[in-house]
Amino acid sequence: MNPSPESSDAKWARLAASARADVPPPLDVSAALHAARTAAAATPPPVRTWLDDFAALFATPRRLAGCGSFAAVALIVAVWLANDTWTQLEPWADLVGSALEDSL
Amino acid sequence: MNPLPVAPPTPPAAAPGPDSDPDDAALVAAAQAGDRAALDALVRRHHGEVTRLMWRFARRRADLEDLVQDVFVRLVRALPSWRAEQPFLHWLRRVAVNAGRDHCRREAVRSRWAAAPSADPDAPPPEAIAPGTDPAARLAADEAKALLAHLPPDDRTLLTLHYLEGWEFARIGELLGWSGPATKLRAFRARRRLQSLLKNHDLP
Repeated sequence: MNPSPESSDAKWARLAASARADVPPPLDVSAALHAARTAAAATPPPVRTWLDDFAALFATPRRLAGCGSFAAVALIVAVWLANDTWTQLEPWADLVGSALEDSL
Repeated sequence: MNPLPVAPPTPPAAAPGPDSDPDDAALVAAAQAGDRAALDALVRRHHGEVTRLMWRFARRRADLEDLVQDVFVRLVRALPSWRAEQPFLHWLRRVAVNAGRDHCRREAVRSRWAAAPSADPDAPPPEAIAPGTDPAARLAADEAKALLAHLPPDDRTLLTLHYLEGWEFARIGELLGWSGPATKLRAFRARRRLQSLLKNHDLP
């Protein structure tokens, strides 16, 4: 005969509560140390490049600050370039402006 | 059908180590740079916590040793991806939980393809009880693990961590990379499967 669901649930709750008090058998840390050292020896130390630092700028906590900084730098560079080459750009700007006026 | 208790009757076990130990960050940074002594210190510092967590998944000492070593090998391989923004212990637990889930998957495959033994299939020889260990707790844990081993791997992982470790479902889902609704759905299904399993098992 199957036990009733209520009694099964209560038994399971009691069993789980008792099981939580179990502690693992003592393990020697040397085996874990050996495994970690062997894995470390097989893994070359990473070379951190500027690309990693750049990617870290956009990690979750710094995403907004990173995007803002990048946008500000891009804007400054664009304004500086436009100002620097304005003498060459001016005739083209006049041409585009007059073409727009004609079309309107 | 009465639902199984959603939360374990006792509060989640407090982490023995601090989640954001500044020494951890320094040690990990040194280990990332190739400092072997720092790596040793990390392993020594977290060996106890990892062993305790992995014991929830393993039923034999040999399995436990393999699991703990697997966690530290994964730790070493994943170390370059650790960023100081996340607490190291939280990240280590994620590595350990994924190792535990893979252990459940391996056992599920093994039990599916292995020839059915004539004796009880979920009865490895119980681990010798060391002096100082509560024999009743060991027997209860063995019984609970044997029962959970009948569930699919993800359900087993979820319920093992919830009932034996005392973690909330949301926390487990976060460690396993599941969304909130997906975790709730999995928890509902897993508890329903456990309930039907309990109906067919006569617990002491």
